[in-house]
Amino acid sequence: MNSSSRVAVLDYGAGNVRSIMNALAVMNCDAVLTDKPEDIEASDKLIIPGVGAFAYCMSQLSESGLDVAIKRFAHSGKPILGICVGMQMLFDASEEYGEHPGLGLLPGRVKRLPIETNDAIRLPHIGWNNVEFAEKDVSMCAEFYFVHSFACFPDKPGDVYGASEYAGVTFTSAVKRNNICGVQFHPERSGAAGIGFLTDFVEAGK
Amino acid sequence: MRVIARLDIKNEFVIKGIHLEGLRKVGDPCDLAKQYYENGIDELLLMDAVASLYDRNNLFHIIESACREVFIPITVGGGIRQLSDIDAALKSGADKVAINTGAVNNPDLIREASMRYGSQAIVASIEAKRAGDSWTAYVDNGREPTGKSVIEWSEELAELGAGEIIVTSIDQEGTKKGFDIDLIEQVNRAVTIPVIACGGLGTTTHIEQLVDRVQPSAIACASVFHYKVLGITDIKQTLIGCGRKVREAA
Repeated sequence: MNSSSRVAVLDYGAGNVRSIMNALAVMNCDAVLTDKPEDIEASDKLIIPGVGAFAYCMSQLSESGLDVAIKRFAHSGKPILGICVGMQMLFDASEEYGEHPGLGLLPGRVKRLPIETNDAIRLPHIGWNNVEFAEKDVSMCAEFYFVHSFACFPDKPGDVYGASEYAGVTFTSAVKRNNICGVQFHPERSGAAGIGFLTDFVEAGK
Repeated sequence: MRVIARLDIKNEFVIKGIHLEGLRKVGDPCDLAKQYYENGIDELLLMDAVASLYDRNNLFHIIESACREVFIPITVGGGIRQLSDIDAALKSGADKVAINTGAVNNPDLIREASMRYGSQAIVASIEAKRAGDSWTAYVDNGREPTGKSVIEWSEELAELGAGEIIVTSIDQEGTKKGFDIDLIEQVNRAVTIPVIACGGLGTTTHIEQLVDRVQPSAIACASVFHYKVLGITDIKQTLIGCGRKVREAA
């Protein structure tokens, strides 16, 4: 496989980084797990993983200066993929555990899913759901794994790249604007469908 | 509804007991993890059966190799006592951690962990033993009673920030005689976070009986898979027959 494209996976102390590296390894992707701005800058693509609370993750980024590195990378036009909280941080702000500013790369906010719980409907939303993609260039139409209580509410409808439904509520499960992409689901934990999605990201533009 | 395969691990082997005791070796963790993944399981739960007894974390290197070719959520439990243990679990490939003893000894661990890693990464694990019409929470694989009522403890764990609760019935565990449905029903009623029912699955009728009364978010099973009593597809087909939505994979 083409090794001219290098993918940086951001290591900021709050991601399920091993899962993502494992997924990239089976694709023979040239991936580097890094917390160094210079590694990010030298890469062709950037993945921001996400297991963590929004405020903690943002503070990890700002304390290490990685927030600046991400913004610089985004403005360079090279592709970014944010996963779960990695997607949420692309937006202006989140309401998880209070009001917290995000990276502000996409206009919009992160809010709790507007869902009433009952005997069967639970929060966090944990499970496998279909994603209705705006473009049909995604290699597979299948269920992806979600685990979240909060979701992104983009200001611009044009930024919505995928939508999913839980308990009768439709929420944004993928966003895309130019080189910036984010997914609420975990492609690295979504079986073959997820590997297909990641492969598309890694292979695009090669 | 999700279907989870539970692998209890001791000294590099997947083991299985009855009532969490009398442990027998059933296979290699990596082989079984991969096999269940390929057969369409939705998640894996890897539990270090002895970590909390001996105060050590020997599971992490097993997870590292088990995760290499498995791309579904993996929860790791056993011996998670502090934030650094959670860090180590996530770094070895886990997506979530299951905490029992660590939460009983220090309930604030659940709060601190959910603030840092998000509630969704923190699974509270309860081992429940029936005492008449109520249940007592146990630790150390059903050996030590905590004196806590399971229902009250469930509420407390949810308030502390746990994102899920896995309830294992010590009475039913490993017996293949069916779930403790009353237990699952009461815990499910006590909280609004997802509840995982564990312990006792032996036949598809047990699934029908369970979901007829209660809608847990997931069921976790071990014996039926390890001893090939039921296939993953059998379970999912039964759930579909009961009107439950399942992931149609593999």
